[in-house]
Amino acid sequence: MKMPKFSSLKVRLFLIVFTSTAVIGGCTVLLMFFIAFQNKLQEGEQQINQLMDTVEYSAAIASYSGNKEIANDVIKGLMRGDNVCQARLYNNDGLDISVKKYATNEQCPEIITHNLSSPFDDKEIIGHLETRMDSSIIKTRAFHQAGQLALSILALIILPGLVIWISIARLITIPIHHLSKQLHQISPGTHTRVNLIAGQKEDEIVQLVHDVNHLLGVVEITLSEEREQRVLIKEMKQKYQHLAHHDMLTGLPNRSLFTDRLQQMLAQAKRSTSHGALIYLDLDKFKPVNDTLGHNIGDLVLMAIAQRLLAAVRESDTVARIGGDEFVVLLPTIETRKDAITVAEKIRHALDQPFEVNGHIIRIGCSLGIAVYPDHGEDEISLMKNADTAMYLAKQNGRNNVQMFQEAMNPYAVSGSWPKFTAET
Amino acid sequence: MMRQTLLICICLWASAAHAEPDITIIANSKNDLGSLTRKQIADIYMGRVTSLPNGSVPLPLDYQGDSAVRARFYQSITGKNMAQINAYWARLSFTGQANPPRRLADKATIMQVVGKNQGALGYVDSVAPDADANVTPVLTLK
Repeated sequence: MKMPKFSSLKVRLFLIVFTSTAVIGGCTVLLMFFIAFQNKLQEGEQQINQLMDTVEYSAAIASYSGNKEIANDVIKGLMRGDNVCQARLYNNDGLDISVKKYATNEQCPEIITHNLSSPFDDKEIIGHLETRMDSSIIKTRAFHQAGQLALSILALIILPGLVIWISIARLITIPIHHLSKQLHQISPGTHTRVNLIAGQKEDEIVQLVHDVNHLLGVVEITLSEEREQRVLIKEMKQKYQHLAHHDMLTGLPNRSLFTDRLQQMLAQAKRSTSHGALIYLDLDKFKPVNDTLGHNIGDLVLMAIAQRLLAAVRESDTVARIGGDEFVVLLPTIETRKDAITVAEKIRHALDQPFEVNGHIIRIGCSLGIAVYPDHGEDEISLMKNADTAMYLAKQNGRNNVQMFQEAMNPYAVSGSWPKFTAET
Repeated sequence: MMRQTLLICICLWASAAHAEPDITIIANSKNDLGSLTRKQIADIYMGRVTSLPNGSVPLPLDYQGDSAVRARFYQSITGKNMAQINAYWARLSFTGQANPPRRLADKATIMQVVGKNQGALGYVDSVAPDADANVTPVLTLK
C-alpha cells in the first residue's frame, strides 16, 4: 500500500514555516528600505549642511567683497560633495556663480539655502549660498543599505525558521511519519508491532507508540480468540450437520440424506435417460445377536457390516442405514439390471462371511430386494416400496438371496401371502 | 596761579593719558561726503564698495606696522581684531583681484595724502579737525 503524498506533514510544515518567513522577511525588507531611504536623505542633508557650514565664511567673504575667484573656489568645494548636484553663490550686487552636475535638476528637487552674513556684521545678510541634493545618489545608497540590512534580516529570520523546522521535523513529523507508515502496513490481529526510531526519547509520541502496540496486542488476542471460536462453531456446525444426516453408530447416511440423494439421482436420471437401481437390504439373523451377546456386540457387528457394505460398492454409490437392521444402497447409474444384481450378490456374499467380534464368531447374512429406475417406478416412494416388496420376497424365499422386483409381486405384497417366485434373469 | 594752572594741566594730562583718545576718520574736503556711518567706513576699508556715494573711487589709507590706534580702529568699525583683519586680506589678496588699504608711515603723511587726493580717506587720533583746511572729518569714533 502506498502512502498518499498530498497530506505529508513535513511538506506542509515546510511550506508554512517558509512562507511565513518569506512574508515577514519581505515586509521587513520593504520597511527597512523606507527607513534607510529616510535615513540617507537626512544624512545627505546633514552632510550638505556641514559642507556648506565649512565654506560659509569664505562664501561670505566672496559675497562681501564680490570676489569671483573665492566664489568659484567655494562652489568647486561644494561640488566635491558627491550628493550635491548644484551649488550656487549669489548676492544683490550682481555676483552669481553656479555649477550644475546634470543638465536639468529633475532628480534634484530639494534646495538647501544658507543666508550669508557680512563678515563684519552678523545681522547684515549679504548674499545666499544654495545647493541642490542629488536624490538619485541618496536612493542608490538607501538601496545599498537596505539590501545589506535585508540580507542580514533574512539570515536572522531564515536561520531560526530552519532550526524550528528541523526541530519540529525531528521531534514530531519524522516520528509520526515513521509511526503512520508502519501502522499503515500492519494488519490487525497479526504479531507485527510498531518499532520506535533508535534513540527516541520518552515523549508523547513514544507513549502513543506504546499505547498503539498495547492496542494491537489486545486486538491480536481478541481476534485469535474469535477465530478459535469461529473454528469451533464451524466444527460444531459440521458435526451437527453430519449427525442430522448420518447414522451415529456406523457413520453411514441416514434416511434423510438418503432421500436427498435419491431425489438428486431421479432428477439427474430424468434429464439423461440413464438407469439407476435401489437395493433394499435386511439383515437375516441380527436380532438374536443383540439378544444373546448384548447391544455392545451388536453395535460392533453393525459397524463391521457398514465397512463391508462400503467396500462392496463404488465411490459414487450411496449406502445408508434406515432402520435397526435395514440398509439401502443407491446405484445412481447402471447399464443393465444385471449390474444391480451383481452388486447385490457381491453384498450378499460379503455379509454371508462370518464376523469375528470380541472372540465371538458371528454369522449374519442378509436378504436383498432390487428396484430399477425407471422400470419399477419413477419416484422415490414407488421405488422404495417396490424394492421393499422385492426384499420381502427374498425373505420369503428363505433369506440370504437377492430378488429383482416384478409387477406380479404387488398383489401379494398387499395380501401378505406369498407364492414362490423364481428369480428373474 | 601758576601752580594752579600746572595742577590742572597735570590733571588733564593724567586723565588724557588714561582715557584713549578719539579716532577721527577724515576725508578730502572737496569730496563733500558729509558724515558717514561706521558701516560705510567698514565697507570702504574692507574693499566692499568700489565707489563712494558721490561717485568718486575710494582710496582708504592705513598705517604701516601695528599700533594701538590701528587695532582700535578696526575693532571699532568691523568688530574684528588685527589677526582676523590680516587673515581676511590674506585670503582676498591671494586672488590678485583685491588689495588692502594703502599703508603710509605716519599721521602727517596721511593728513597730507588725504588733503591732496579727492577720494582719499584716513583715520587719525586726537587731532583738531580744523588743523588742515583740505581735510574734513566724516566720523568720530569715541
